[in-house]
Amino acid sequence: MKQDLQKPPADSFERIKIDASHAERITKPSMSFWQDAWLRIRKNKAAIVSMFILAFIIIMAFVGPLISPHDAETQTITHANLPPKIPGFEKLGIMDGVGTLAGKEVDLYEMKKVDTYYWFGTDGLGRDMFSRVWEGTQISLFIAFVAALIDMVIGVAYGGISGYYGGRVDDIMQRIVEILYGIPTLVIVILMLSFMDPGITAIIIAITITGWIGMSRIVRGQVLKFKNQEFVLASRTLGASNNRIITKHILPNILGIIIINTMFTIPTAIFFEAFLSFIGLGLQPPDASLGTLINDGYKLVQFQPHILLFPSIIISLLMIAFNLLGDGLRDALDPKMKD
Amino acid sequence: MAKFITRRVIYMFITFFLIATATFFLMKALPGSPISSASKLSPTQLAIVEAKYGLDQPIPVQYAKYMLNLAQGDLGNSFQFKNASVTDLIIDRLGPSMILGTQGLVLGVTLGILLGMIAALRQNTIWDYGSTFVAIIGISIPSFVFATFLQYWFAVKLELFPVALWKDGWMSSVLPSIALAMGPLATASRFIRTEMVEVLNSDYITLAKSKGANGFEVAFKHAFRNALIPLVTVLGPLAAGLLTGSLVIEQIFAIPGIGEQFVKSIMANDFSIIMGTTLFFSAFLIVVIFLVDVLYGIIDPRIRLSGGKD
Repeated sequence: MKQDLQKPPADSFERIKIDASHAERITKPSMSFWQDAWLRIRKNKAAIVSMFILAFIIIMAFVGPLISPHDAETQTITHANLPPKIPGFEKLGIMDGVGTLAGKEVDLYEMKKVDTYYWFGTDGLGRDMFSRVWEGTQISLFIAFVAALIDMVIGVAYGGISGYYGGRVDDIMQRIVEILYGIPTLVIVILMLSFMDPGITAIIIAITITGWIGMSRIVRGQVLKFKNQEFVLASRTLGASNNRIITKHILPNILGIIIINTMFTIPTAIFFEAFLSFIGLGLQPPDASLGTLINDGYKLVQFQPHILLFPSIIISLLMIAFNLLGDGLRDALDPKMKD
Repeated sequence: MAKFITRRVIYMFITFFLIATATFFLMKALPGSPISSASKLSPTQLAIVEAKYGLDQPIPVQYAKYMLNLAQGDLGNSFQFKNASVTDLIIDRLGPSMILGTQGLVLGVTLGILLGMIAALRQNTIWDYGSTFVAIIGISIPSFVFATFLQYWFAVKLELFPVALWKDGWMSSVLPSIALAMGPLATASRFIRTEMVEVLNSDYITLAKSKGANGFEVAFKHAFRNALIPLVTVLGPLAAGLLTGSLVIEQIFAIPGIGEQFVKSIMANDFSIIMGTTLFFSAFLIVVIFLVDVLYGIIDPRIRLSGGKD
């Protein structure tokens, strides 16, 4: 069967008209900066897992003390130093309430005739570690978030003013920063804390007193970069006020970098709080943060390792998750890395 | 270069002067008297004691005296250790801290460089992910948490090393050095990886490869040396991190160093030691940061730091 290829039947083809306007049509939906960033961070498995871990810890920090049958403050001396015991897990041979007493493995719950469960065990005063750990997490997170927020506000304002107004203002402000930058954070924090009454406010002030400098330097650099670009000049020519230029043109452009930097401030603040509490400059009883719980646990590590274990796990998870999420956000938001 | 160094030296002194001044006035603003039994003394006795320590003079005079003493390296006397001079106390305690700090830094940076290089040369393989994982762990887990677990497992449970003893020679310095090394290890490995990846993609590496240099030669002779230079810039933050770490790690392993003494003085409210050590730490960090800046200008011929401009 041979077809005549030279002469195809007239009805097998249809002439179409080219519509020139179609060439310019955008076929994919237009995406905002944040949708774009979300698409990229979604591919980063570590960042997504970190987000879930953080969400879990933050929820537990508020819900944990409520769902525990015991509250954090009640001291039941007869229930002191109990190892963790969780219903369901006890049949697996872990978290079954068995601890060492005078070198022998015994079920301390049976011995002390305790018929409730302490999920994370109890401390030397018979307080429920589960409630205490999550309340400590709450305080640690609170200190970290407030410190990061204050750092961000002061840093953005200082760096923004210094970079935007330039000239003599910038000169004076930068000389001050240069001197402050030379003062080691550790030194200033310890000085402030030995001077102020210990407590949450004192720790937040001590962490933020030099913490904003890094942010202000980054913001200043970014503002300097953007303030002379064409779109800002165009807006200025059209009569936009300084206020409008800063809020509508410059801030949206540096928002990504501000967020990334804040994400890295949070774990630093968590670490500093725990560090200060560990060396005895931080929170004082009855306030408890992860740092003070670790300090308490450390003193008893040979006999009651569970008191150290749980706050250590939570602080490590928090730090790892914040760092990984920060890394992921940097890759997603930093325009230089855009592929 | 000379102009840059002069400028930096001036800033260095201004910074230190500010810290010293702040320290003095904070000490003066503290509630209570430095004489612990002030309430038990009669007014005459109190006046004698105050005169002995120069506390009866007006604040500006005391300040001037304090500054003069400081310029001569005299940090005052401890309240806690029978009036011993703070300068002597610090010098006595310097040895163990320096040994630990050096061991931690050398161990951490060496291993970190190795890990970073492996990660960069074997990009996106299991080696790369492994070293990134170690770096994240090293940056994230607080040194005191890591140290307590090292101590619990290797000293208490396995009994491989002494728990907290500073006598057995190098054996007792193993665990604290490892604990201190985690920070530098993580920082160095991440830094070297980034630098190496950048250098390996540069034109002169392609040229070296096209001229027939083998992989080893490219990695070590051409790439590594250039990737190493910027590592100098993180030495300042690393030194600060080591100091922070030493405060807790000396405490955990009961090492008779400056950090341990400092933490004990905080507990005992011995302000002259707290202030003296604070000043010593500041001086140390300020000098390290200064040296790093100057060193960077000297060893990297591509960067000629010029004075006067930012």
